[in-house]
Amino acid sequence: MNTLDDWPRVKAILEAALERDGADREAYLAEACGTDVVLRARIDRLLASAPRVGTFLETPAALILEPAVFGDLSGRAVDSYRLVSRVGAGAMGEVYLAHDTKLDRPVALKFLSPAFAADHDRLRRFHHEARTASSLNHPHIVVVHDFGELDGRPYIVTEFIEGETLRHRLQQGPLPERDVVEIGAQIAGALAAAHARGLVHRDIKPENIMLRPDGYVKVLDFGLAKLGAATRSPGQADAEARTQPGTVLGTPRYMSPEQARGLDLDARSDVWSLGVVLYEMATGRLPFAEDGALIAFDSGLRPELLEIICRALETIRELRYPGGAELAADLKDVQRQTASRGAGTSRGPGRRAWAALLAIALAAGVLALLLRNTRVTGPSGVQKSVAVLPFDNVSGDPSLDHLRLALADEVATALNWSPSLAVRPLATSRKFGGGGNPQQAGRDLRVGNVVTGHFSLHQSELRVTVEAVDVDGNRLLWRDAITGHRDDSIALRDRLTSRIRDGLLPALGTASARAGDDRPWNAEAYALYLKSFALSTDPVPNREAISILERASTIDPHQADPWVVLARRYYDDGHYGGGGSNALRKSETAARQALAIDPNRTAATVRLFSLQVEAGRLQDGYDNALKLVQQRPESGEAHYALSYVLRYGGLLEESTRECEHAVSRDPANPMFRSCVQPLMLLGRHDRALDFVRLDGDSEWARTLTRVVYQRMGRRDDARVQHDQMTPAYFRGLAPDSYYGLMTRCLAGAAPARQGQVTDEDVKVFLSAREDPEPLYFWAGDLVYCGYTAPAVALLRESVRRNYCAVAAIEIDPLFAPIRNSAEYGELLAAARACRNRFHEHVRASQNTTPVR
Amino acid sequence: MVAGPDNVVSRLLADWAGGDSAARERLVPIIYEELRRLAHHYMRAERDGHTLQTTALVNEVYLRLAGIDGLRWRDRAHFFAMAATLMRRVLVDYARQRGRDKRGGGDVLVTSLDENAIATERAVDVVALDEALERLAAVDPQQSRVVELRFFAGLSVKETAEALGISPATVKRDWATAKLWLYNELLTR
Repeated sequence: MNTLDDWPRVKAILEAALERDGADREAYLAEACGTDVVLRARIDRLLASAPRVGTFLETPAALILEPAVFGDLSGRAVDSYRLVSRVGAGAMGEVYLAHDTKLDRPVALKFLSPAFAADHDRLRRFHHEARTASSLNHPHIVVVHDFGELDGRPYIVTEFIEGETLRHRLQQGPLPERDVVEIGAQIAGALAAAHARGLVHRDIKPENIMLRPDGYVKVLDFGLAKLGAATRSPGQADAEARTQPGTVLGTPRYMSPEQARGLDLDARSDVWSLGVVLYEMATGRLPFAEDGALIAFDSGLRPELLEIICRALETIRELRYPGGAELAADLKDVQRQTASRGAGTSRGPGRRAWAALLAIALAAGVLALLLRNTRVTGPSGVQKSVAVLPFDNVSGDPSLDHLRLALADEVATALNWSPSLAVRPLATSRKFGGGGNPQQAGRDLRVGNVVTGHFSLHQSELRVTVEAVDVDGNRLLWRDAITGHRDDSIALRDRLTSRIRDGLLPALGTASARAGDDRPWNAEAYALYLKSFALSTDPVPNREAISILERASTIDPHQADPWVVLARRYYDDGHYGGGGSNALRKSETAARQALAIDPNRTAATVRLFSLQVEAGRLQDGYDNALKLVQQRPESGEAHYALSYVLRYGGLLEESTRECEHAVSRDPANPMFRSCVQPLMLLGRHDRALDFVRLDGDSEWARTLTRVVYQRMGRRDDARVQHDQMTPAYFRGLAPDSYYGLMTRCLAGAAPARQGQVTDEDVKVFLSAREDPEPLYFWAGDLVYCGYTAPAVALLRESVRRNYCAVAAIEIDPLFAPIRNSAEYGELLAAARACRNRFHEHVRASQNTTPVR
Repeated sequence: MVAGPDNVVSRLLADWAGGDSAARERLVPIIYEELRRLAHHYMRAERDGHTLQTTALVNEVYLRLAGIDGLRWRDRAHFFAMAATLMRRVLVDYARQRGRDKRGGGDVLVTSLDENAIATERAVDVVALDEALERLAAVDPQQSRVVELRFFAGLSVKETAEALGISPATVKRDWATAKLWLYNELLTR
């Protein structure tokens, strides 16, 4: 009979009996067991031990541990190996220098944790994988000789490599770039061979890289990480079952994002880990903090290397190198360049000097030549930025004023053919120009280069002068002039765009990646298109511009330009001109038309993307953002788009990574300020404020600063930010009551004194904006001010509109009060479901998107 | 091996305390190794007449890994609960191994190092205890955990109660009846 049968009942009777003694206990037992003599016998037997259990188990289990099992085993023979000395110990086990007495050679014998012995299947698979890697006979993969077990501890015997680990080397500081590339190429080569056989290392880190004195690099421990994943503790089957396959132990610092999430891994995970190692070798620091935040790329790295590291560290693995082979190829290219560049001088210029030389070469437009000769695909990890200012009309003829913006727009469109340029939208630069100082405008707009120009009229001949200025150097980079008949604007345009592609783009140190669409324009349509630029984006002129552009696109429906501009104008009408969802639908149609004509119109993709995300169509938005990044991996704005949709989808870590990618490529783009949101929600307040500063001291920046301060508990500072604002700023952006409410609340008035937030007010908040993100913002403010119920209503609606606000429920400190509310469970479930749907889509598209 | 306070570990502990089972997964091998290493270190000291107390050992592991800062009982309770499982494993792995060495299997006696206890108490077959606890866990997981925490991690009744989030009275009752059953299972066959 099983002694645990019916245990709850037996236990209960025992407990009650132990509280009694003598006759009392006997009476109790007689009643509790009744006629069940078997039960009574069991109870009696157990109770009979009571006087004897005494100290049984009372002294905590101390350990008797013997050196034979747990100590230094030097001197001991293990099978045919004599352990000579212990040379290392780590989380995965201990390593001995041993002598192989059969073959009379030194070997390394590594003991694994005894915990690994428990799962024989896993251990066998590890043996298989380690043998397979070894059998590749690759010069940079360590050779495995044997496996065995001593006292229950599995061990592995490999060739003994004299030298030091990369970790050891790194303790002396960063490595020269030559060594970084050299070592990196060898590791990548080892990975390439393994990847070709379908093997993934899973634990590339400096501890697993051996450096021999002769410069040879050896990669250790293939397959071991997978074995480590099998470490299980008894009784934890439930917890284990919930974790994803491939969860890996070891340091998270080198883990790819998919590995940290426990997803299935492939070669691209190793690419990421090697990217981290490369960065650490080059700078002596890790690119990511332990919490996954990017620390910031060191601009002291040479661009080719930085570009390689950036590509290895793409969060979305489709954008990374597909495997070791491709990474090795690029590293070898850099190696060859280093060799050929260094040939002329006995000592090559130092790292900083190279960067300076390169900068000069860029400015002088020499790089275009260099690029052609050396087959470098990306010029630099950092995008060059340029703003086009409105042209000056010096013709004295006001009827030509529309050309001020129209010409600037043509220039901006032509510049956009280069994927490595970050071209600031005209909307942000239109307030500049008009005889202003281009250098100052460039500083205000935080761009490296400014393009501007003017036009004059000589009888009927229009003369257009265009010039590009290097903002920091205050130097003229390029100037050109074209002429044409004032009525033949199409010929003027063609001349202008060809000069820009052939002259200005190389002068900016970049080249046109492809020819633009050269479909001939209908003259009347083009004239209308140009005319539309005379009209501002204020609601009434914007409507007029729309009707002009609609005519242009009817006459000449096969030009992408009018559709792109229409998409933008419909969008403005929908959001700020009262056009509502009807205008937004038209905006989407126009964007799709533009893309049907020319799929590379990124402005249209961006428009489509914004519409989709704001309408809660996160999956479509994600697909488009991914497309943007694939089209333009160097573009900061493309990465920003990805960060944007990831943040709506509640994947905040991933979102901040993309933000860091964006800002590392385009370091001063004010648009990136909204990265504050994910950083702030993750509690990285200082970094969040860095992003706010991208937008200088604008009103919106003050609002963002305030909400960060609120979450930092800096109420007084938050109030100062708010008090500096113009009340009118929120008009059209937030309900009228919002500003006053925040003023009273930050001034410290108790909710009762602040005034009621009525159901009517809540309705106003709910309908103020189509975009669900502001609802989250306002909900946070409302809770902060003590209005929990209205906040919950806003939050619920934002989740309903697919803003996956899990952060509000789980981590955002402002929302702590609602965690006690009755709606908590329901909100949590809804937000999680929202995020999970999005996450599923992200994961699915990562698995189906073909590798480039 | 991580030596000294380490942010990764405290972060993992915090994540785990917050319900992240992946964090627990990552902690297991780190703590296992540290326990084992320290146990060995203590063993050497023990030869000079010191005694090894599991509580002290686990405590030190915790301090080394998580650091003095941010020492909160809730985390610590979590930690002890995990350490108990791992201590159990360290011991059982070792005991099982010794058994295999002697080719007898199963008849391994591991005694407590408490000198008073050695004199008065019968040795415990750790392997058999482990197996018995497995069976108990199937019908009464909480009771099995109580034994694990009390015996393997050396927690007091009060600490065990905190670690499991139950009342000290419940711990006492579970402990008393478990002892009766285990005594019968292990020593009176």
